[in-house]
Amino acid sequence: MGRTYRLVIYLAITIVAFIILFPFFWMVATSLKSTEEVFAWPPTVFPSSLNLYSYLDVSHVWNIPRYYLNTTIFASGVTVATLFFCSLAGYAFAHLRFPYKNLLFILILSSLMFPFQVRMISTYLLLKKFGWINTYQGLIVPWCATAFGIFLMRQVMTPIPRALFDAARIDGCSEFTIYWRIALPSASSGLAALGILTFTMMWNEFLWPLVVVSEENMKTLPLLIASMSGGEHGQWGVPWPTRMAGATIVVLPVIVAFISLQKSMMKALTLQSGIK
Amino acid sequence: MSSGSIAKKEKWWAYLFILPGSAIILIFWLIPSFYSVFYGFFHYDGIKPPRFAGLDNYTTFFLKDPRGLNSLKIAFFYSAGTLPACLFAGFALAIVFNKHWFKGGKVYSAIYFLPRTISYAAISFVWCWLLDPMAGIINYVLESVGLEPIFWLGEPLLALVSILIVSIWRNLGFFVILYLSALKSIPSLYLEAAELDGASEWQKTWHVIWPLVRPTTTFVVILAIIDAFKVFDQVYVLTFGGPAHSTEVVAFYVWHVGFVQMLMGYSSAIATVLLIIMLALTTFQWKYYLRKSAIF
Repeated sequence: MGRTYRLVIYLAITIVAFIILFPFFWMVATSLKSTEEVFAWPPTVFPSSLNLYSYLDVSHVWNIPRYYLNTTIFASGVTVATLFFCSLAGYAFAHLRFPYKNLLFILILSSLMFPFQVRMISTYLLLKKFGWINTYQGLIVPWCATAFGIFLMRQVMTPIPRALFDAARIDGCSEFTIYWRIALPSASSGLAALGILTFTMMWNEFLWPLVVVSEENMKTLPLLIASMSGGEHGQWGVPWPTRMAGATIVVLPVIVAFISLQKSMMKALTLQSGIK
Repeated sequence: MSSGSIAKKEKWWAYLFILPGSAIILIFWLIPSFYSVFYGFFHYDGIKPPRFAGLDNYTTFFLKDPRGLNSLKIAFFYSAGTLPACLFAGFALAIVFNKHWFKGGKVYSAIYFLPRTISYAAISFVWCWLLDPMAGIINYVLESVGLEPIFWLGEPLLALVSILIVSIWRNLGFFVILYLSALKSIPSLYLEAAELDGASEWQKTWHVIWPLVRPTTTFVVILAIIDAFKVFDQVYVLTFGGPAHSTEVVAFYVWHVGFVQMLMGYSSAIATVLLIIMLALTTFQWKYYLRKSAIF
């Protein structure tokens, strides 16, 4: 491997890395510029002064804390429910014996054949019938369990040795205690991955809240982008620094989380397949 | 205690445990899916009672509505445009990151992966600004090397290209990580044997490594094709389906027909067509996924 060859490769990879990171830098830089400076030609790389005006602008028009609250409630609600329901079912499929077990499992898995776009209209109409449009329960409940989650939990729990469970049963533990005290702790890495994956995906979810929520005070962070971009429900003519400030607000928590939890996030997010 | 009643207790516990999960899936996944097929045979605007329409919606989609089949075509172009680039670039990068002389593979792969953790909508928004024809920095760079500024999101073909660029930028890291883990699981035995036979780097890569990662390749190909039919966020933010419906992918069109044009019956019919296509694709995907051994 020639020295120059390796150097060229390093250079190319680093250039690509800059290209990957540049939009993030540009987003923050733009948000800190004034509306005039943004259109300067040639464009300035760094803002001439740290102008937080655009962030104030965003918070005047949109209730940012409320957006954060809604998104947090939505993402955590779905994550907690998913972890609980999917691990319960996963444990049952992995270690309990009951009639029609395989049939039920296949039935559950079959739900993955139906992607979200197919269910979108009917789920919306169903929620409307329940009166759950523009509510937290409407946002959360339909995602409280996924076949993917159940499948994953079953995979993770199957290797747990029977002996552990039999010993606990002999000691007189109820099934729930066995699940709670033995199965769950043993499946902790799987739970962590599913949790991270679910939370991140729900935090970033755009189409679902777009369908369910139209009231301003129930919107989640990604819908802030929809509001700023014009489109169907949005405002036109929002200045670019303000828009980029909005984008930064939406994106920042995930970046912070990624920096601290890189490895777990990468592992969890590459499980992605067939959740929707 | 007789073994019969132990089994009985276990049975009831089991049903209790699977109850919440199954109920959610039944009520919010399976039943709506079937209702969707059902609604496809009606005209329904969400307010007045549904009117029976027979096969009207389906004939409209296949014969009368050019936007309908166009949306399938766009989805196909989307996957054709993003898949090869991501696949080969991802594979090449993974090879490099895996080389023993390459330092910082972990840092670089984390950097490449970052866009994928971010809301697609938010990051598309940033790209809107980057690609702005008047003031976007990409056109500035083009101008400073003497090229004409490009009206990225304003012209039909270019708009689609812009969406492809954003998608490739976002998803590259995913492919890198997947291939990296596939590479790490190749026994060094094979590579050593190839070296003994006098294979060059190039030959080793193409004739030994590439065939050995074929399961990963198959997996991502199917995943990418399926995802093409779900593309929504970036289309909404970047182009809203335009200009002139040139970026109107199926998922976007289904949403638009149902929630903007309020033609819920027609939207359901399109969704049913989509369903049939996806059923075929998902069957392949799960056959593969079940064969893949447990990750943990």
